[in-house]
Amino acid sequence: MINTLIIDDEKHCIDRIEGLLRTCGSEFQLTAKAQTVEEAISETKKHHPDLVFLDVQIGTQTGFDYLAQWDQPDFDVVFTTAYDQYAIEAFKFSALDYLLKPIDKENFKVAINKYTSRLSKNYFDKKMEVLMHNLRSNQATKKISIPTQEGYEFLTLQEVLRLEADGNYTHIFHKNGTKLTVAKTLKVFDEMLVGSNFFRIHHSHLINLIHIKKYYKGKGGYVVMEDGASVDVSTRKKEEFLKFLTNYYH
Amino acid sequence: MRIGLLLIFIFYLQDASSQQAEIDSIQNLLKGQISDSLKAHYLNELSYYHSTCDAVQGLKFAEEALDVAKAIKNKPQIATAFKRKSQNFTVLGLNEEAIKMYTTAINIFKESRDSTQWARTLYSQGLVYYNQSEYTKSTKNYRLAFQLFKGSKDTLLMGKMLNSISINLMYEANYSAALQNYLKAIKLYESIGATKSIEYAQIISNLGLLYARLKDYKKSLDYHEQALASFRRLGHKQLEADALSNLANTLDYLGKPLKALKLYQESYDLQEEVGNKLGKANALTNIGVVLIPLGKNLEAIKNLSSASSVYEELGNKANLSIAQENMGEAYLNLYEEKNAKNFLQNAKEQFNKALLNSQEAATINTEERILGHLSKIHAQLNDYQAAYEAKAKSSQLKDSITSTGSEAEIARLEAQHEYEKKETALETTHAKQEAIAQAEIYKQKYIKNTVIIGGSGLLAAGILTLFLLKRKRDAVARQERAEFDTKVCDTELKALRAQMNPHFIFNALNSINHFIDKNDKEQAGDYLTKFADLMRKTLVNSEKKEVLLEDDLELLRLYLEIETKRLNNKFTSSIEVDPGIDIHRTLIPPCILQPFVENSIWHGISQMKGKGHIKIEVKERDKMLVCSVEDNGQGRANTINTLRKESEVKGINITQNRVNIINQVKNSKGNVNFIDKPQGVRVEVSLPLEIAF
Repeated sequence: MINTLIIDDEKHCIDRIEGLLRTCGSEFQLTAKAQTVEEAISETKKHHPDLVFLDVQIGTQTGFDYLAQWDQPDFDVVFTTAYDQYAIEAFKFSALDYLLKPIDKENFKVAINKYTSRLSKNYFDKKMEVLMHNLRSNQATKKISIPTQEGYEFLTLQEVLRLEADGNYTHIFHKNGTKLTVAKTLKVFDEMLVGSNFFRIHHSHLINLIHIKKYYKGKGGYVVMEDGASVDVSTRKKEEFLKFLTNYYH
Repeated sequence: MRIGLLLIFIFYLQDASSQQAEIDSIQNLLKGQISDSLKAHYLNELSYYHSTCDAVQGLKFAEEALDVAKAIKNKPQIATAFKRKSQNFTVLGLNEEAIKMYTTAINIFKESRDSTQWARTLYSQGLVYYNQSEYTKSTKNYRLAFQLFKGSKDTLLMGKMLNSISINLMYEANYSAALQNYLKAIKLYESIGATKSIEYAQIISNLGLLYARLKDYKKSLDYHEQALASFRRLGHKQLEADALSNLANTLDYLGKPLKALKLYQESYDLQEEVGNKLGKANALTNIGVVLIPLGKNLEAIKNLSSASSVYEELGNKANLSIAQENMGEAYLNLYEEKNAKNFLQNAKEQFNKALLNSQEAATINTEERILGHLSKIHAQLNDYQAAYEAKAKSSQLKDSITSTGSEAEIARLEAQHEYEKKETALETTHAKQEAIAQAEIYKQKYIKNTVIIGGSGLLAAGILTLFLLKRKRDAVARQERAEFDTKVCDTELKALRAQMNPHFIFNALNSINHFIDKNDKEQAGDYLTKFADLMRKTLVNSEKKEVLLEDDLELLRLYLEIETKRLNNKFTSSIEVDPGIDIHRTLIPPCILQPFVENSIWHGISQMKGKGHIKIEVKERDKMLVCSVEDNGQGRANTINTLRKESEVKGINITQNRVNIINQVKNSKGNVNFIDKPQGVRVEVSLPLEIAF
């Protein structure tokens, strides 16, 4: 029996999840529903749920307020949100599962399967730690969860020198000289890191501006990174890159 | 970014200098043996003179006058007493009461056909409406008063009404109408040879403000200088001080902060001379605002803090919050400069105060900006919860203002374009200017980069910095101009997309409804989540000027999938891209083909018998990206299908406009072509080939 708690300030959203949950087999037992953070806390203490569906914006409070109540939550969490870019960014960085509203049936099934196969339990605490850490801290110490063949690596973003595309894979070069290969395209990281101090200087290169040592002029020119690697700047990106650099150091 | 410069609209003067003498002499007259009607008249006069120094007492005199006048049924004095009550209420800030009393007075004057008093009272009530930000009502009053003054051939007051109407129009961002009214007023004054009057100079001054709003700072400068000279000649210190401040503001926009600073200082001295506290505080605030980008943060804080105490004393929360916000910004700069935590705390304190005041003054623009600052500060202080809340609140406010804000912006741009059209050969000079400005910006950035990357040549860097500072100041105006022009285009693109999206959304919603009617719950649910996915992606893409071809095609694919489902597989579709084109690198304006695909489905395929096909192709031809949509459905040639004709024209117009803007910005020759086939339609959009990397 899997005890489930649904937290959402809008009743019809609870109903939707309840409906979807009913199609997932009798082992899923809807134990409690809560429409405020306060209610959610007391229901959790009373029923000790195994799985919690947690909305991000709950009235004037947030799902993070609820999570902050527990040092080490002993339940799994699936976040739900409608269109909250700030939260979605946080989930992407920590590689935590989330569902977008209106919730797609297929996506819901995927989330449930992950739970039953205990996949989501893997590294859950650590991912949670990354999430809470990022919410608490500023850009300088932001962390990112990277799925690897063995599991997950948790990197401090500013310790990443650069990322390089290799087909559908991306190599991540760390300050300490290690290289990590991920089965994700460079585009995924480029989109994730918009607004940070990473810049796509080339189709195949995404670099961390704080680790540039030198820039050599040329048609597009190239940069030399702290580890001595030289990386081409594409001709078309040169102007934008210089502009970005100026703004960044301004 | 410059925030919160305080502009002064010039409207009406209140000369309070010699009132005490008047009060004394009237009180003497009241002591004598006089008729009740004269008594009412004197009491009303007393009430009027008190309104500028002791409104509570003024109100009492008006009540007394009302009692006396009512007893003898003297209608003109009854109406005057109501009017006086309103004047005193206005001074006390009781606007609702004032409006009520004015209405009573207006009705009595109207009944007794005293058109001069009727018009003057309408004007006074209009001013109260203006203070309440009820511009439509205010303008209605002024217009009626204008007609009445016209009847009595009072040209000076007719001009004054036009001036007031224009001010309202400016607040409503209706700049072309405001300009028209100002010009009309100028003509009126010129017709009676009153070009040396204060009123005439006021209009000139307001025209300066109008052009500043339209960001035509050169013209603004001309008008402000002219107005300043007039006020000086007329010896009107208060107006001179206001004109100085307006002139300084324009100079600051023109990238001449040092000159602006000098004029603000002069304005401050004059405000002191005439004893205008609010004017003094405004001058101090403006000085502070100009000092911040000059890096003189401590000096700025000093000025802003003196201004704040005056605002506090006067209870002017709106300006207080602006002064405090700027102080916060100055502290933030100091923190970044010196990296001392206590400055961060100071900044937080100022922003918090500013937040409270802006909330009380209900100035949401200011509130939104302050919340943004606070969110960043909280994050730096590791208070993530507060940061999140501030950020959420700020974006919530932003959503509520952007709709109105962008309307004003678009109105401003439209107006600006109207004027620009008149200036011939503008485009070539403008393109030249832009190129020069761009070159300048680029050069500077380049120099700067060398400094940063080159590292540690201390002395050289010092000299270079000085050189750069000078160069930077010179280029500010040109840079602003270039950035503004880019913004014109950006906004237009956004406006166009705004036109298109509702069309798109409601068509899709209609499809969903259609689907719910015909099919089962489960299918409808699937359909809805697909639609949500499409909307999400459209929202993300429409934020951008250009997107990767792969992303745009993905969106089209999703759209086609949804529509195929809706029409029960009535059509098939294919997307073919030239192997020479790298979809992962090629850029395209978002949703450029969408209107044509929509037309093909709605007007071509759904009207035909049998199965249809939509073919989308992307090819390269002479360094141009040629995108086409082709269907084999009901074409335009068929006269019955007039709906398709209209719809295609709309789609073509929108797209042609977008392509024109791209052509202007990129100096390219893109176009939209339409081909009627024996069966169906083919639309070709050619765009400059843009590669991301």
